[in-house]
Amino acid sequence: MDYDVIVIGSGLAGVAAAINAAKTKKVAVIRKGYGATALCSGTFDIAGRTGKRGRPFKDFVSIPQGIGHILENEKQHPYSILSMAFTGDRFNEFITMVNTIGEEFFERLRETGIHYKGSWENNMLLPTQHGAFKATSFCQSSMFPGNLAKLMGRTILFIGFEKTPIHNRTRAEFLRDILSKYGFLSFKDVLYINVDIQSLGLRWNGHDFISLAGIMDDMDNARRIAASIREIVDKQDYDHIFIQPVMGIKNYEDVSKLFSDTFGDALSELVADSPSAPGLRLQYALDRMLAQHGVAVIDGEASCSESPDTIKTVGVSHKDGSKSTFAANSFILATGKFISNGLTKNKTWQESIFGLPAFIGDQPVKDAFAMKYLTDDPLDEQALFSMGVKVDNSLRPVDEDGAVVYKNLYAAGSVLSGYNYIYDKTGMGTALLTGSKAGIFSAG
Amino acid sequence: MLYDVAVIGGGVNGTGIARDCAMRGLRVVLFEKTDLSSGATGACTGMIHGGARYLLNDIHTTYLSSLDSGYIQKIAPHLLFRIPFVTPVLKQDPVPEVYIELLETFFEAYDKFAPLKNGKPHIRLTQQDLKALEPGITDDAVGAVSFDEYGIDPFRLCVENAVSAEEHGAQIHTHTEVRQFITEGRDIKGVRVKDMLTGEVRDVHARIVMNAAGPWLPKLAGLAGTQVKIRPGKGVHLILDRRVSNIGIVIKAIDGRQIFMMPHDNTFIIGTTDDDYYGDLDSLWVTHDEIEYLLQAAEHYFPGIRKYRIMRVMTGIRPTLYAWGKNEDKLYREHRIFDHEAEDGIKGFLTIAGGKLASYRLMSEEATDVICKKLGCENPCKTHTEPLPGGHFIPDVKKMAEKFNVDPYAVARTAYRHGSKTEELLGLIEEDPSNRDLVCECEPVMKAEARYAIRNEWARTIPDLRRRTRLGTGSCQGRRCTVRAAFVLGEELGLDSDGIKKLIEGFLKERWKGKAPALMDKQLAEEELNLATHVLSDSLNTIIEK
Repeated sequence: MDYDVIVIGSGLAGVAAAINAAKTKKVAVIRKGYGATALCSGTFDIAGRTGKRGRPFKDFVSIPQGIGHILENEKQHPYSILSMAFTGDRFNEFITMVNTIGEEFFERLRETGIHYKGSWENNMLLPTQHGAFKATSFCQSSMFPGNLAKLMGRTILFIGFEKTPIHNRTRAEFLRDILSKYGFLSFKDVLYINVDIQSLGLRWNGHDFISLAGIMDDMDNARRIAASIREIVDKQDYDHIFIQPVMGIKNYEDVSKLFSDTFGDALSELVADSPSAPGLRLQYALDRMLAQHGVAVIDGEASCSESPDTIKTVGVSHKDGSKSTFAANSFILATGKFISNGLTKNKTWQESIFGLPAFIGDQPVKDAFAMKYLTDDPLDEQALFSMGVKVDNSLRPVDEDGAVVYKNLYAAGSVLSGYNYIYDKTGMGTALLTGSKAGIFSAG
Repeated sequence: MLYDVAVIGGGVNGTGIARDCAMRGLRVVLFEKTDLSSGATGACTGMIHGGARYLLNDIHTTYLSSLDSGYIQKIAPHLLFRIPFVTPVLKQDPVPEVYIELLETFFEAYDKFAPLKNGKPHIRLTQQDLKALEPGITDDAVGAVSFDEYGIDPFRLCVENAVSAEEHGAQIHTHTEVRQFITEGRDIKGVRVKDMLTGEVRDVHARIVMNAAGPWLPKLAGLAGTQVKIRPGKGVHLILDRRVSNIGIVIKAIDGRQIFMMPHDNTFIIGTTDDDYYGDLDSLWVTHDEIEYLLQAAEHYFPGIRKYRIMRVMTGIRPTLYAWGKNEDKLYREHRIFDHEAEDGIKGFLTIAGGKLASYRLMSEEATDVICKKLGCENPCKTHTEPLPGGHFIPDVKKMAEKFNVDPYAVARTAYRHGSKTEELLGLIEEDPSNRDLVCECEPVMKAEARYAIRNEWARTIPDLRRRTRLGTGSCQGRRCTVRAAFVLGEELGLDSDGIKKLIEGFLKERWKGKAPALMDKQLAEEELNLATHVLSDSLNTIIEK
């Protein structure tokens, strides 16, 4: 036996599974590359369904309320499936589990150099680089503006960077307009100032904030840019500063410390489109976490070998064209949805590695034509994006008749059906919980 | 103010007629209910061909088509691009060794017209030649015969006709719908129009009203108290994210219909279908059967086609002339100008129906001749010699890129669309250096071009920008550019946050119509990211009533 547990996929779900299994077992992760976690905005959504457009924020601000809604109304949701294990007060026991697993995981993340801030009680609103908001539960400390309500009637300063394509001035005004129109907050003033990167002697293409974050990984560059921002803001009257998310990627710990030493709590990063530096920071932190917990990483594309009811080995095709085979007692599928090709269409839809049937809700997906699972308005909740494998209470994939397909295969994260992370705001929470539990189940 | 001509419809016929009329000195106004080239013109294959299909039955039409293809190359040299085609012969074809001889004979005859349209003479390709040229083609292909045609950006063709019309004094009103006619007895004296963005309604008087509304023309004829029948034919194209073949390939579908697979700009087109359509013209959706029909045809010749990424589908309705008893493919792309004074006794009202993109200029000339005769105007047509606004010369891309310190590739794409107007457009960078920034990274489109389209080409919405600049048509399908484009429009048009939100939602919906029916395989990964960006990160669906 090469390993006790093999996890396929190294996004949030896969890594949560691996480090939990690695508490007692010898674990390896097989991965072909990065997926949706690396592309994320770096924030953690736990619960707080968005629902129909135009719903007031207060309706989804409470995280326990959001979870309660899911446990009561969405029987297929992985949260509901996990809560089936509880015999007493399902809701309270589930909330306790979420907090325990979550706190422990954020502690592990802190050991890798990323500090997450937020709350298990209430979602917060973070301003995005588009001039809108993202409601979320936790964010990297450099993105945490504190309580926006405290900025009521104060002056906000947006720092852009030279040649940015995002129309900062208009966006700043847009944000102010939205904030006051929808009655959360009204700022006294919203200012916009650009930092000229080229005049600092740095070469930058002018529109890619990931590459600017990469430039900031060099502490000399970071110091120069921080000093330049300092010089600009010292001439202004402001209460809070927002900048694009550029405080480094690989060297985030040092760069963000430099900024907090320079600006204290008065400066924070905006939430950005994917791909973003905060998403990559998270992915690299997860990579470090695997190393810290003694999990082996095997780079290559996994494939299954013939097995009737128990998986004995998986094959791996490596980038150099070589192939190898790894044996283990248990396997965890954390391969993601479409972004990472966790689900594919081969006549009909199925899971990509083991050929597990794909489900939407309670029904196996039979129709190859996507329109059956879509509405004519892209901003509606689209059922197609809740496609995934269906699992039993131990997170083991089942077939159309509800029978467990492989006794020793578990699934976690967005390869699961029953939820729709694009709309229901449980994406990271589901990945974290199902990943952690799959790791625990697989270790027996 | 009394106009000489009010044109209804901003497709290639409407804008072509507006240009011709304006160049002959008539006072012209044009109304388009959504946007220029947003109907049949915007959904066409985008070819200025020489009419090879008429060769056997109607040599004169082929001659005129080839002649006009040559004219369009002269008036819009920047917009035309050569597409060499091959017609492969498969071993399943009946007696393939004879079939290829027939094909070659046919194209030998077509070669006679090649000089008119700067085409190269045909070449006969062996199996090996064909494989070397297109390695993806099926092993069943035993040979092929080539011919030469030209592609065009149909959106730009419309816009340039409209700009030219305006330069000659015409008034162009997009997003303005004709709601009813002003009549005197049965005669038409003008139109009552509604601005669809502001809601404003007004009356406009004209001596002649020209109905060039494409598939909507029967509705307008009805409003005018008469009837014009068309045979509405739905056409669907698949659009892939990259070039699958180097040259165009003429293939046959399962029913023997001819279909093109061809590179177009930086994408690839497979189409078209042709089916009678009686549904809602303003809400066209593509079916699974239509996609599968085209994919199967392509797969027959290009076995690996399903491994490629279909970004979206495009569909429109052809306003084909009415005919009973013919199947769709047998319907010729002939056109007709209905003089309702002569036919129904309704003075002041004309309708143009049928036709094809490649003969738009000729049709416009004929229609304008009819109008001029009625109005007693004797000025000759000059639309075949007078270049379109960007057609005066091809700019030096490298020089422009250096002068304005912009990426040469971005300049090359801009120069394709704007030709001799490129320098004027890039001049916006001197006004504000941030106009260099890219709004759309796929195409790419600079802010300067977006602003130019808003200021000079009537762009009012993001789909309008898309038609003029190809913004949002690349592989990310609007993931990165939608919000940026909304902010440029917001700045230029002075919109508030509600207006900007409306623009974003409008574009997401418009793209979705094309994307949703074809969502499969690789495009799903892009769409997962796209929805996550617009729904989750931006929380568009939670901006948020008080």
